[in-house]
Amino acid sequence: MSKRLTITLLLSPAILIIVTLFIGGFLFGLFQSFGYMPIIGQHDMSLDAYRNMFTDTKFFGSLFLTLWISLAATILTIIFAIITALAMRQTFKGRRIINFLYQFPITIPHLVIAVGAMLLFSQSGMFARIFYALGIISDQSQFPILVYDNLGIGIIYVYLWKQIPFMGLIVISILQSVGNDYEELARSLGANRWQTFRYVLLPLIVPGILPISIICFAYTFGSFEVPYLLGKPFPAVLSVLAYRLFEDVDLNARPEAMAMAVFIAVFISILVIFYKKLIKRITGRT
Amino acid sequence: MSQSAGLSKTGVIKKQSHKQRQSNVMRNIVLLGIIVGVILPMIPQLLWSFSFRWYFPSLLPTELSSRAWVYVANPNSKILESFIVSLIIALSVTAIGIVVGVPAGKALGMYKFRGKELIELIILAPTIVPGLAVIMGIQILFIRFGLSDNIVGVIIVHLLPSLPYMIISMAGVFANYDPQFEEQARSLGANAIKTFYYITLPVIFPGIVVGAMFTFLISWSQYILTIMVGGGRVITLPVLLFSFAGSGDNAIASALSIIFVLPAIVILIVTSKYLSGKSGGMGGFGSI
Amino acid sequence: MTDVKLRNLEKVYDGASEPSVKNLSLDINAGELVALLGPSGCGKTTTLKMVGGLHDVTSGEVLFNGVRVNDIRPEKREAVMVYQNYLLFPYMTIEDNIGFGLKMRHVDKKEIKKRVGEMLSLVRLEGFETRKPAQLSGGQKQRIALARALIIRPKILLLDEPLSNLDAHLRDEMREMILKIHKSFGVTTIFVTHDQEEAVLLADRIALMFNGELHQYGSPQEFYEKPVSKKVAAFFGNENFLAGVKTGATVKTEIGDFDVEKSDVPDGKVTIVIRPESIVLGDTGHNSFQAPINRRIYMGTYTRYDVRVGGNAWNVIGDPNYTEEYDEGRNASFSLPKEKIWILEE
Repeated sequence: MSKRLTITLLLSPAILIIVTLFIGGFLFGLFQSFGYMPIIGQHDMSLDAYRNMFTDTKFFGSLFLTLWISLAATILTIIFAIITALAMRQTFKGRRIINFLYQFPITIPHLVIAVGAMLLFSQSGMFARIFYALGIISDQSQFPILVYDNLGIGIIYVYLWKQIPFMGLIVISILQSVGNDYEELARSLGANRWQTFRYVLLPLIVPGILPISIICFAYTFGSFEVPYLLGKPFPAVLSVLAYRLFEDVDLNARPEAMAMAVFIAVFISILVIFYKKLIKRITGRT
Repeated sequence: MSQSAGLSKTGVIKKQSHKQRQSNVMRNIVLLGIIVGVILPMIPQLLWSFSFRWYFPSLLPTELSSRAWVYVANPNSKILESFIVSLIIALSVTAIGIVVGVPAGKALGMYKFRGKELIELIILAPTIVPGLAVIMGIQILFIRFGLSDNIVGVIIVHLLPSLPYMIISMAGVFANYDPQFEEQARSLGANAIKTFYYITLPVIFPGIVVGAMFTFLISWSQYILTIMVGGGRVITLPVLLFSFAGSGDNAIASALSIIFVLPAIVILIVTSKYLSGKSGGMGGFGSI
Repeated sequence: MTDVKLRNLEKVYDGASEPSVKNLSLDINAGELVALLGPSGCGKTTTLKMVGGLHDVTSGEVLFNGVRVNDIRPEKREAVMVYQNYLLFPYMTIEDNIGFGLKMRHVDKKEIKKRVGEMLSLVRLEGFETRKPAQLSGGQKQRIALARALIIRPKILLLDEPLSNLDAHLRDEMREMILKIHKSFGVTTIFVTHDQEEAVLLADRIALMFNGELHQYGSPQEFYEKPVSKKVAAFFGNENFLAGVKTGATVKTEIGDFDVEKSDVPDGKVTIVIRPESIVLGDTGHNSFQAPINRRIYMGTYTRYDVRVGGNAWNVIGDPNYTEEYDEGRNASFSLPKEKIWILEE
C-alpha cells in the first residue's frame, strides 16, 4: 500500500464526518442567512439579515459582553493555571489526593457548576447567607449581584473553575519536561526567586500555553449553556442571542439567526488566525 | 569514613532557610485554595438535594426531606430513563470516536504529507467555531433526512465537538511513537495482530483513554446540540437538568446535578493516572 | 581567591532511605582545580550542587574562606554552575544568555554589552551576539555556557561533566580552554566527571567517591601508584591483584615470595597491586615467576597479555613486537620490580 493511500484511508472517515457537519453546516447557514430557504418557498437572496444585525445596538452589546467574558476568563485562567501548577509540581504530603482534586473539574460538566454558582452566589445563595450570619449585610438585596449580572461574573467563575486545571495540567507537563535545571542555573548565575520566575520560567511556559489559550478563548466565546443559565436576558452573549432568533416562531427571524451564526464563525476564525500569526511572531523571534 | 551511615539516620537535622519556609507557606496557601476552590461549588447541591424548605437567611436547610431523591427514583419522572439515554448516546459517540479518531490521529501524528496543514485546520475547526453556529445551518437537513428528533441524529451531531479532541490526543501519542519498535517486533517474529497488541497498543493506550474521556464527557454534558437536533424528543439528563435549573426547584436541580456528576467521577478515578504528565495522554494538547 | 572546605557534609533527599552523600570532608585550596570522580549515582553531582547552594545541605558545613555559607542563597554565593547539557536559555540570544548574570545584578546595559564582547573573544566566538542557541554546535554551546558563568567573575566555578557531551576532537580543545581559563582567572574550580582519564588530564587533585563516600583524595599520580583500596585501583583500570602474607620486607604468595620495599603496612594478610606497564615480561631474575598467557591482544603501540597469575586474571603490557615464545597458551616468565609493588592491607 502506498503511503498516500494509507494516509487517505486513515483520515477519510474522520474528515468525512467533520467536513459534512462543519462545512456543510456553515454553507447551509450561509445560504439561509441570505434568505435562501426553499423549504418555505423563499428563493430570493439578500443581505437584509446582515443589515438588520449590524444596525441593531442589541447586537453590539452582546458582542462586547461576549468578548469581555471570554477575554477575562482566558487571561485569568492563564494566571491561575501558572500559579497552581507551580504549587502542584513539587512533592509534598497528600500530593496524590490534591492531584486528584485538581483534575476533578476537567470531568465535571459545566452545567453542574453553573447550578452550583447559582446556589452559591445569588442574592439568596450560600455566600449571601454567610455574610448575613456574619452581620456584614442586613438584607439579601445588599449582597452584590454576582449572577445574572452585567459583567457576567458568575459565568466567568464557571469557566475558570473548569479551565484552570485543564491548562494547569498542561503547564505542569511543560514544567516536568523543562526540569529544575534551568531554574537552578539561573539561581546560580545570580537570579533571585522572582527573577528566576520572570526571566526563566515564564518564557519557558508561555509559548507552550499560547495555543491552548486560543481554544479556551474560542470555547468561551461560542459556548451557550453557562451564559444561558447564569446570564441576564439583555444583553445576552452572542450564542444565546442567535439561538433565541433561531427559536423564534416567526420564520422571518431565521435569516438573522443564521447571519449571527455566520458572524460568530467568521469572527472567531479571523481572531484565531490573527492570534496564531501573533504567536508565530512572538515565538518565532524568541 | 564509613561510620557515618549510622549517624545520618539519627543525626539528621532538617534546617530550612527563612526563604524556604516562606515559599512553603505560599505553596500551602495555593494548595488550600485549590482544595476549597474545587469543592466549593458542589457543596450547595449536596445540601439542597436533601432539603425541603431552606429559606434565606438560614445557613442550613430548615427542613430535611428525601423528596428530591424520591422524585429522581420515581419511574414517572423519567429521570433514570434519561440517564440511560444519555449513557447510550455518550458511549456510542465514544465508540465511534475511537474507531474514527485513532486512525486519523495516527495519520497526523506519524506522517508528513502534502496538505497536512489544511487537514489539521479542518480537524481543529470545530474546537474553535462553536457547534451551535454550524449546526443551526444544517438542522434543516437533519429534519429532511429523518435524523432529527431521534437518538441517531443526536449521536451524529455530538461527534462534531468531540471528535477533534479524540484526534488531537491520539496525534499527541503517535507523534512520540517510534515505528521502529513495530519493525523490531515484526523482525522478532510477531505478526501484525500481535505487534499491535503487544507493541502499539501499550504505547497509545494513554492517548485512547484521555481521548475517550474527553469524547464521552463532551457528549455527556452536551445540551444545545441535543436540543436543536433532538427537538425535545430525545430527553437526556442535561435537558432535564436545564429545565429544573431554570424552574427554581433547587432541590431537584441539585439532586439531578449529583446524578449528572457520578459518571464523571467514575471516569476520573479510572483515567486520573493518564491525565498528569508522564504517560503523555495530555501531550497532544500542548502542541495544538 | 577562595578556598572551599566541606565539613562532614551529608545529604538525604526527601523520601530517600539512604543518604546520597555521607560524611564528606574535603579541603580545596584557593585556585585549585579539583575533580569529583566516581560512577553515576555516587553523589558527586549532589556534592557539587550543595557547594553551589542549589541543593540544601542536610547536615555538615560548606565553608568558603572559612565562612559558613550553608544558609547563603545560591544567587548570593558566587559559586556558579555550568551544566553538562549547557542549558542555554533557548529563547534568548547568545548576548542575552551571556549577560544574564549581570542583568540579574542590575548592571548597566552598556557595561553588559562590553563585558559580553570580552567574554566572546575569550571563548573565541566573536560576533555570535545575535545568534540563537539552536544555531550553535555542542562545542560552541559549551563555550557560551562557560562564558555565561565567568562573566560574573565567580569565586568558584562548578562544572558538571564538562566534556562528556563532546566529540573526541572537541574534548581536547575544550580541555585546553578550561585549563587556560582556569589559569588566567585563577578561579577555584570543581568539576564532576565519571571518566578517570578526564579527571587525570584536567585536575590538580581528584576526589574519588563511591556510594556517597569519599574513598581517596589526592594527585592523579597517587591514584595510579598508591591506590588506597582494590576498588580504587580497579576504577583506575588496574586489577592486577595478588593475595599474600607480609613479613617484614617479604610477601609470601601462592606463586612465590616477593621482596617489597619497606612500608607502613603492618605484617599480616595483604594484597599486592602492580600496574600492567610495570611488570617486566621475559625476565627470570629477581621477584620473577612463571605464568600462562591466556590471550594476546595487539594494541598498536603496545601488546596486552592476559595472564593467569595464581587465581587472578592480570594484564601485562609489553612491547608491540612479540615473538613466538609469548604466544597464547604458553608459559612465560614475568618479574615484579620491587619499587613498583604497592601493598594494600587486607
